[in-house]
Amino acid sequence: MSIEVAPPDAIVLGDSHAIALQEGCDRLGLRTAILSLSGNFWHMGLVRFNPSRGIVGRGAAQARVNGFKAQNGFEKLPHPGLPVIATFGFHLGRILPMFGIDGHRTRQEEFDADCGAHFVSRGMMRAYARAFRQAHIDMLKRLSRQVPTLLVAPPLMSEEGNMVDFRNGILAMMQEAGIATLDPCAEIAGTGRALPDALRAPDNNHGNADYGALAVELLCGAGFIARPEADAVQPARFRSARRTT
Amino acid sequence: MPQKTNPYSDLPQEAFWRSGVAEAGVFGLAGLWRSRWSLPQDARFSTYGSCFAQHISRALVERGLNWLNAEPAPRRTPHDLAREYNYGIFSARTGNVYTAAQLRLLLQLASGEVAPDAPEIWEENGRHFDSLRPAIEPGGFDSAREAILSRASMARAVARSVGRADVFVFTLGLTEGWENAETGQPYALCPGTLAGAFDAERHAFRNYGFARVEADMRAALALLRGLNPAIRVLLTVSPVPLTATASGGHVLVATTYSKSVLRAVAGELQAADEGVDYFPSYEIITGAPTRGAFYAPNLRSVEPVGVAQVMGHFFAGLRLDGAKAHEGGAAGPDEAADEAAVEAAMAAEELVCEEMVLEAFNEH
Repeated sequence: MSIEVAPPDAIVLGDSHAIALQEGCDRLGLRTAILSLSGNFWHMGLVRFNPSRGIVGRGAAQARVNGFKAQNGFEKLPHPGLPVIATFGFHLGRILPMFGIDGHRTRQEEFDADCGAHFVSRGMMRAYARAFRQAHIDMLKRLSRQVPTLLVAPPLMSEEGNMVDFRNGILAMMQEAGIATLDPCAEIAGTGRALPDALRAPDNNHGNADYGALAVELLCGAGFIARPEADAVQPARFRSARRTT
Repeated sequence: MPQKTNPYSDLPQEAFWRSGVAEAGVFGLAGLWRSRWSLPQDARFSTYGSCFAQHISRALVERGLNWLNAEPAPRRTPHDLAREYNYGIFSARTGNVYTAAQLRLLLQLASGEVAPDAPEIWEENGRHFDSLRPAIEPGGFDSAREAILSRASMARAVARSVGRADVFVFTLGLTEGWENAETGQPYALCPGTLAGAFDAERHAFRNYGFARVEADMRAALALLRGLNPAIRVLLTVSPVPLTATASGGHVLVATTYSKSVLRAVAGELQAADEGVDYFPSYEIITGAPTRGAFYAPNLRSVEPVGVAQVMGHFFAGLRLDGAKAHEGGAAGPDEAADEAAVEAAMAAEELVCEEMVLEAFNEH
């Protein structure tokens, strides 16, 4: 006997910040298929976009991408007609520690406060970010051409100048590239402000499910995806298109 | 007939043109320079000056000597990007310092005698350029405030590089330059060439003579010693000719004048001050033995073989025979250890993130 499982409403694709978004989708009764890969995979270029095969994994990421497609019965990713809620292309934990290790600062107040600091101009900051993140921006552009794609910026977990400026700088580059974006943290806390404690996961590096729910509310409010009917039964997490028992 | 005794009779062969130059040939020249100081074997060098000075920075790094990079690019900056933003060329992001007047102002900034916002910032089509370093950022800065902050950062780095150095290497490049006619502020380049707008009323050409160059260099020496009383100063003169002269004369004649003044000032300072030495990069490239062979076809750029020849003589005469003077011996922070610590911290965070990803599959 086979059980028909409803297809997902969207794919959530990204790094570890994808989890809160997926939890938010669950809360609101949206069915999602999630592919969440370590930020390091994205940073190292182990996730690529192939013009004919879509998102492909290399090295350690290959099995994860292929497994996701097999599990969901997708021939390729993106899956035709399924919108993508994307949250990748930042991975600030992989670039900011090295950027700042010698005291490079993008903010005057932080430069003034430390006589060993180096001031970095906005032009240099953007060029540095672009050197590491242009490939991800290109990937988002290609995804956007194939299916409706919304880039959801990760929440700000600190108001340290480098963190805010890099995050907002990368987000601005994505917007300049024509990618549709949503910045839930700015909507919730204000531009350049960190996520309130109540919306943080215990690791203090990610948003929690409450944050995810707020983010998805905003996403629905922006019309990216239809809000489920109020009486919709919250389904179990979508795992495969067809399950045979 | 017995040999007459006179001051020339006991001189070494390099004191005579025939044996020292003509017979030795360009690749046989020896004893051109011997450092007047015995330096610690881990001596730290900071390098500034005109474009030829870049070769000295690079050669010190290639030799594994302690070249101070007091304003490094952020770690992991791709090499081409670092070059584009003028990181790692001199010991701070000064850009080329061609004249003694520029050096003096640079050290006034470094010592706090001149405020970072005092020299001009040029605005052009909404972009902002540092009049002391018009090419330091491709396309200029977003704002005047940002240009001043970057200049302040550079000034701090110059002060650090002087404070931590054993030897300050400076390559004198030009006597010709441009100043603000009212304030006397020197510019790196004529306004209106790379950036800024030329105004004949405000911008004045100067061809600094011996007295002015010497005065600026003496002031610079005092500023250097204010930052580091023990610092030694090694002067060189760039063998790169003028690209153009605004003197009204022929560029060949103007070049000879310019280099002669600089060479004479360097010699004067060396003779008068035990803390100053002169290294003859100019003579090695321009001297008669080379017959101009070290120049590229444009007769201006120095070919790599010429640079190698210069640096060969430099290292042959450098006396790094003193006891180590610096704990750890490294010129800068222990980069490898720093990076390993950061990598470990990032890896730990990565593990947490990976665990979060796996937890998403937990249905219990």
